[in-house]
Amino acid sequence: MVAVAVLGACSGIKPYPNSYDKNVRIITKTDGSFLSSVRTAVDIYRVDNTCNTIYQGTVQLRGPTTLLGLPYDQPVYLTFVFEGSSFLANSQSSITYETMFRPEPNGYYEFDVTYADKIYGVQMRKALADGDGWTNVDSQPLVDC
Amino acid sequence: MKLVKLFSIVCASGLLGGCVSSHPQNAQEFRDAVPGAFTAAFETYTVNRSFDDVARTFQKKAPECLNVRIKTTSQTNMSYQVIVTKYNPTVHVTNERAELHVQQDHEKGVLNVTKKPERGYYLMVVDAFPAGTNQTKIDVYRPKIGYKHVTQAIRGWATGDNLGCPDLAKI
Repeated sequence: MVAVAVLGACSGIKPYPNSYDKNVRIITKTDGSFLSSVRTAVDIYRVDNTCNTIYQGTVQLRGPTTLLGLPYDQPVYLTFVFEGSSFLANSQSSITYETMFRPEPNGYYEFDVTYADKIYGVQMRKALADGDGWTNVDSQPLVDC
Repeated sequence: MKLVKLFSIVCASGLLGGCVSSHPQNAQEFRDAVPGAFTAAFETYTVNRSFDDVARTFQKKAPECLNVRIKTTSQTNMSYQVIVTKYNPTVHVTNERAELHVQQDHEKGVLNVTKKPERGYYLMVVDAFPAGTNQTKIDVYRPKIGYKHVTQAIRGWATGDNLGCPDLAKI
C-alpha cells in the first residue's frame, strides 16, 4: 500500500461510468468538523491478464450510502482515498487503502468505509446465498494477482 | 502539527534519551533504551483474546496498514520542504511471544545523525504474550509524543474491536 500526502488538487480524475448492475453498497462514515474534514473516494481500475491496472474512473463517496456496479467475475483494483484537510493548519493530506476484488456472479457486497480519530478502514463482506447474513471478505494485494 | 512531526522525526532519528551518539540497532536494544529515554514510554495492558488470535491479527494488519511510504510537502513563503518516510513493519511469532516492530526510514528530507539500522530507526515495539485462557498481555514501547493513533490502532488489533489502519499521513 502506498500513501501520498499532497498539498493541492488532483488532476486526471474522471467519473466512473457505474453502468454495471449495482452489486456493491458502500457505507461511508467519517468524522470531521468545520475546522477539519475528510473526503473519501474510490478509484477503480480494471486488472488485465498481465496484472496491469487500467484506470476506469473515480466514485466520490459523498453520502452515507453509495451504490456501485462492478463487472462480475473480472478482477478490479480498488483504491479507497481518504483526503483530509485542516482549516487552521492550512494543510491537506491523503492516504489510501488498496485491494484487489473479484465480484462473483450474482454476488452482492457491502463495504464499510470508515475514518475516525485518524484511523481508517475498509471492511468488505459478501451476502450469503440464502440471504441469511454475511461473510467477511479479506483484502487482497495486487501481488496476489 | 508540524512541530509535533518535526519533534517526532528528530526523536525517531536518534535523539532517544537526549544527546546520544547511537540509536538502538535492533528491537531488544530499543526495549532496553526506552526506560531511560526522555522521549519514549512503556505501557502494558491485557486483552481478553487468545494469544493465537492476537498474533494472527498482527501478522495480517501490520503489513496491510504499516507498510506505507508517506511523502509530505510543506511550503511557506520562506521555505519549501519535502520529506519522504517509509514505514517498515515486521512481525515475529513464536509460541512464547508475538513481536511487532515498526521502523521508520526517512528516505528524503531528513538528515540521519546516527547509524541507521537496516529498514530504518525503531519507532515502536509491541510484544504480545500468552496470559492464560483467552487472555494476552501486550507490552508497548513507543514514542512519548505523537503517534497516539498508531498505538490506538494496534490496541484495536489486539482487542479485535477495531481493525482499522492508522493514518500515517497525519503524524
